[in-house]
Amino acid sequence: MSDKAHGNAGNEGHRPHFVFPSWHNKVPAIMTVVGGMGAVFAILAVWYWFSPKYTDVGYMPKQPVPYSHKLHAGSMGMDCRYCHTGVERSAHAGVPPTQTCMNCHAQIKTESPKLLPVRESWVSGKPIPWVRVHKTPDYAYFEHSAHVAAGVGCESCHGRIDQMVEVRQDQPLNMGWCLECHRAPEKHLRPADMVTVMGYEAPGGDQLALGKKLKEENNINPPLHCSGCHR
Amino acid sequence: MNSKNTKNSRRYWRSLDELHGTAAFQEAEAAEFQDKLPIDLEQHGGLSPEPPEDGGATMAQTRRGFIGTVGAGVAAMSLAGCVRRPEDKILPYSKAPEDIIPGVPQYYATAAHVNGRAIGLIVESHEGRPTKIEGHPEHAASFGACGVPHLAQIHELYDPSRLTSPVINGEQVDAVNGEAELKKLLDGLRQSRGQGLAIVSGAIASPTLAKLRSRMQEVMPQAKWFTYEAISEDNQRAGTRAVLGQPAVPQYRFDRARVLVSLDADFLHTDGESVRNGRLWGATRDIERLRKMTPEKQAENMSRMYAVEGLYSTTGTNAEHRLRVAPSRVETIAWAIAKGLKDSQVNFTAGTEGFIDQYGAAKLEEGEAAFVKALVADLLKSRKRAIVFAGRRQPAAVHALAVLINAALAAQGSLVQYYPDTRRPVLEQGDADTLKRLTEGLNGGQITTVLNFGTNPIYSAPGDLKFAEAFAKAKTRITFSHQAPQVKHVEIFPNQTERDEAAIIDETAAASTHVFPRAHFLESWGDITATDGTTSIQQPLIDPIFGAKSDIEVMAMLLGDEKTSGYEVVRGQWKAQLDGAGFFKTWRKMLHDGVVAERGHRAMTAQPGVPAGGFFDNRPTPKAPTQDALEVVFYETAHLWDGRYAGNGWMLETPDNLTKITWDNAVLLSPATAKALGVANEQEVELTVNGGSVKAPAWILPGLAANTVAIALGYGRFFNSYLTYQPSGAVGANVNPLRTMANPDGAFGATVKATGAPYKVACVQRYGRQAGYDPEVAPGYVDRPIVRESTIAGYAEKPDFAQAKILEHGKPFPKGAPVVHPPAEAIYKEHDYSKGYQWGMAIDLTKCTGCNACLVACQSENSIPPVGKDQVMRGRELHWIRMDRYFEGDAENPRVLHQPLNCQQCENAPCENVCPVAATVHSPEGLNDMVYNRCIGTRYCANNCPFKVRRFNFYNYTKSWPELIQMARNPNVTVRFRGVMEKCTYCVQRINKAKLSAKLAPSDAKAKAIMKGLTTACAQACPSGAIVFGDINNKGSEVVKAKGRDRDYIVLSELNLKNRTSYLAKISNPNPELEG
Repeated sequence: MSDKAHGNAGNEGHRPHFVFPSWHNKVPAIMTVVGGMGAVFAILAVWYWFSPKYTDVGYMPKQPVPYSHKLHAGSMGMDCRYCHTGVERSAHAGVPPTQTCMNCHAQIKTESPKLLPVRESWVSGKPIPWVRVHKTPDYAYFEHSAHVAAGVGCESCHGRIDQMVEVRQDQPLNMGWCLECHRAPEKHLRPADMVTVMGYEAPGGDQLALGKKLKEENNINPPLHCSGCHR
Repeated sequence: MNSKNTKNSRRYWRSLDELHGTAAFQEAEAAEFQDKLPIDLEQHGGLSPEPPEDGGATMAQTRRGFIGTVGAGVAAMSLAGCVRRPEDKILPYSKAPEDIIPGVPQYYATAAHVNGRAIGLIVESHEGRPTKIEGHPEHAASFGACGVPHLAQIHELYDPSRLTSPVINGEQVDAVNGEAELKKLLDGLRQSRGQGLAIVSGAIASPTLAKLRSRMQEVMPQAKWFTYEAISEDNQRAGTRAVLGQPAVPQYRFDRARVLVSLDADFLHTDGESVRNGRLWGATRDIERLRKMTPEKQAENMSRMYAVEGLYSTTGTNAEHRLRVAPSRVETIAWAIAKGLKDSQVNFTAGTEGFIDQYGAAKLEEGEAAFVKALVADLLKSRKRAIVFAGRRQPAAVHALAVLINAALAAQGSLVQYYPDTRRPVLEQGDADTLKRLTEGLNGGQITTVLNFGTNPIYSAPGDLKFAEAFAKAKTRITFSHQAPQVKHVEIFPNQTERDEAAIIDETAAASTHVFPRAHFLESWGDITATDGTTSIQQPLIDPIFGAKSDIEVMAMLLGDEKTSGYEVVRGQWKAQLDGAGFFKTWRKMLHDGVVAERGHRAMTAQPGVPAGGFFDNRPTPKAPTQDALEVVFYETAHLWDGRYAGNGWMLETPDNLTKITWDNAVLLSPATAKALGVANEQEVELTVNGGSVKAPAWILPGLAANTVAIALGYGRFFNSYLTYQPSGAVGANVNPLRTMANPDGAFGATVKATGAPYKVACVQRYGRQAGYDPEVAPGYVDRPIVRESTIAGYAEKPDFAQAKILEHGKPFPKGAPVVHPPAEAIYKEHDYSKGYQWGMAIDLTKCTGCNACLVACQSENSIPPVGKDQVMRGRELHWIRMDRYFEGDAENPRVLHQPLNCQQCENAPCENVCPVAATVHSPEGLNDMVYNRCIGTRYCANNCPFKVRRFNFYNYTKSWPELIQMARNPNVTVRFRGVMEKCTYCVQRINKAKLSAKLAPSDAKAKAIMKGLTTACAQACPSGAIVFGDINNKGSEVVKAKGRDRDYIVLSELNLKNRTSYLAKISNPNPELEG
């Protein structure tokens, strides 16, 4: 501000003083209430809209081939491991090679326009560019084989795949969610031969009793320390 | 041996500055950071508006700028949170290859060679992408261990400087046209029956290639073959030929030897089968086996090494006694040893006694005479159990003499086997002769076409040959090269053009008319015969990335064969040799085992004879070097070899074993020589000899012979960096122009003059000192060095010499000196680590040779990036293992101890206490976990680490790399981002994998075997078996046995950190007669 504007106002004539209206007295109170509500809203907003439950669950990208799990795994009852062959031996369950599709589709629906990308891939040798649905960060090393061997059902993380026409993310897959199960695995353990069964229910409906028994029998101690999953 | 040395009263130092306590050292000790802050706090009251002159950190330097940057960062972060995650694709195979399960690595046996010296390897491959090289446990040159150059071959395979397409007359052509042109060229050569053709190759270890070579002589009789290796073994070849009748390669059984005499040799690092040698030598240092004997027997049975050398070699650092003489004087000493033996009634080959009498009579200096006398007495006591070996730079006479001495000591046959040298045609004289004939042929016009298989004589040939001029006279010059002939943009992957410039130029390719990419050994089929005749099939791990061809394939094309794929040629050759029946099975077994049952050749049985006239005579006797006429040694390092690995960032950044310099070679001088010449450390000097001169930094290396300077080969090549933080330009100085054909390994009459300019060198032993053990620093306390050692006799006398005396808490200090250190108490409650797996490591300093194999193995396993010279100078190298090198004793002639220091995995870890975000925390298995995604980069942990083993990513070192190099990364290890701390994890990815495999194993026995096989990358690679890793809760494990020994100690144990890594004190076996 220049000197003129600041200090010498009196020389330019007398102006009436500005008086605050009386309702201004309420401003601090209103501000406190509104600001407080705003802060609460901000916290709740972040809590809800920034959580993986909101951002990630339900993620359902469009796939290059409209493959229906509901048809294959649900109606026809194909086992998960027919296609996801690595699930018992590798960290990755694995998306099947085009070859697996062609095992059947060399004979069934050979003219279907929906299967054109599959046939193209089979002829050209180029992969079908499936879009990843379930993603853990690069620094988290999830191991399918360990979980399958321990008796964690596919359903526990992937939901009712047999009811999904298009695959969508069913669980948040964030670290807190992982740890919930790592702290109390008995809530999700099943006998080894029931891992790929969808809609499994423990005998008598007592999952906790079954889980505790299996945890004891198979010596299930999920890691809770950092290098269990990060390395 | 008296007990004085067992008291740990010695002073160990890592640099001369430290020894003398110079101002520079004290300043560095007082500074908090190795890298100076970019602001001058005193002058500017905290903040400087000026950018730092030395180009340090370039963050906003004003408060306003800082707030602005942070604000922008926060805004950017919140915006980034609004963006939906990018679409990520999963690309499965179309037709799945057999046996590949995505996510499960595969292992293949293969083999490699350097200079024709083979090593069997096992290579880990992830979905067809080789990522890690390991030794082959069943190969006699490896025993499961691996050396520095072999480990770094992964980086070599994905080297961004690789030639990506043929270059014809300076123009890049596509692969199809290139192949057509190559075929036309080769057909023309065949039709002219090899008229004017010279083929140049390196040493050949492949029987298939050797067969093709002899077939070529039939099809194209006019063509000539030239075998050339720059790091030549000519002297050994000539020496063994003189006494054994044919060129031979010795192979030693160090495990059976008691007295080892190294005549300027480096069998633990650069000579021949150094990995095998390390393992066998390590076996003689098994202290626990010796401890079962009586003290007299212990000293008798432990190996003792004597080294006679001018350069300080890795082998010299492991010798009990080292005689420091100019390299040209080693021969005199060797004769004196022979004379001493002969005078003690040792029978030498009839007819050689005269020479021994004549040359062994030379006058020795006092120290030399005492050394030789004690050595001879020791040899006499250990007949049949002593080996004498000569280094490749020593003249042929020394090699012949070593053969004679070994025969006289009855070592030949049991301890030393001589094998025929099959790496080149028998009629070829050697590398120098080859090069000479090649140059004469080129100058004389007889050679008009050169077909060069990957050699680089324009760079590596001695200067006085003027090879480049001769080479230009050939009309057609065809070179198969790994490295590109010119710097250019090569679009390997989209959007990477800027980074993918060739990083290094192949000088010979640059002078060639036709340049084609040459396949890496991991891309080509072949076979390799080891020294002892064992042959391995060399299996490729990946298709040639740039459509490169292997030497075998080109030779098959040249001969006009129908089948020219490497697979068909190699398999066809073995099928013919092994008689077709049942070959399918045999072949599968050969590929699986990695070693062929049948041996290519066997040991020679010939006893040495008298060399033909004049061999020992008529040789010039070099004058002793003086200050004005220095002796020069041109030595090779395992890192760069003859310069072929000069584009390899891993090798350039691996610190030299002795000098601990990275990214440079230097003129090495002893302190006294430097003083006499008026040269200081890190001054640029001009080395003048043989009519030429080079400029290089001076580096004072204690232990070098007086008036002798040494400088490494392989440097001075232009490095146009893919490492953003390494400026482009020549790395080090090229000394090949100074070499002569007459004496390529050394020179006489050199002068060294300081130019007056400084030359900063990136040496990694200036910082990271673990202080507090020095009585001068902490007066009154008992001195507890970081490295501890004793002699075998001292150990028997005082078994607990390595143990620190720590006062129990609460007890009063004992009266009188010396005062012992009071114990520190843990800040927090200590955890119970008595259950489950508890990981621990023990490193035996008796066996550690300081070869750096662990460091490079760790780099490969854990995807550790090199950072460039500029960053190393700021103390920012990322190697998780620091190979500490301690000098001990006299500054002029010290001994050396090596100590690999990784994260000590302290149970009461000081780093954990200071982390504000719990990014470093303990696992129940005793691991000090580093959680990269939590780390916010305060660096408090590194500051609080007493061992200085934590490394910080000051820049995003890995992101700026070409995609090609990223293929070398281990997919089971997280890529670390800028601003994140990292450190040794005890290879936690391997631990997790083993635990899981054991859990999934069908039986308990299998599970146990898996857990027993678990080891870290460093322990796996260690040639001498110095590193033991395992579960310290498993009472039967090796690591528990090691930690239970009385010489096991913990570094800085007074801090009560409960380190999981412990060290076994070094035990040596000095000759009492030579101990003063």
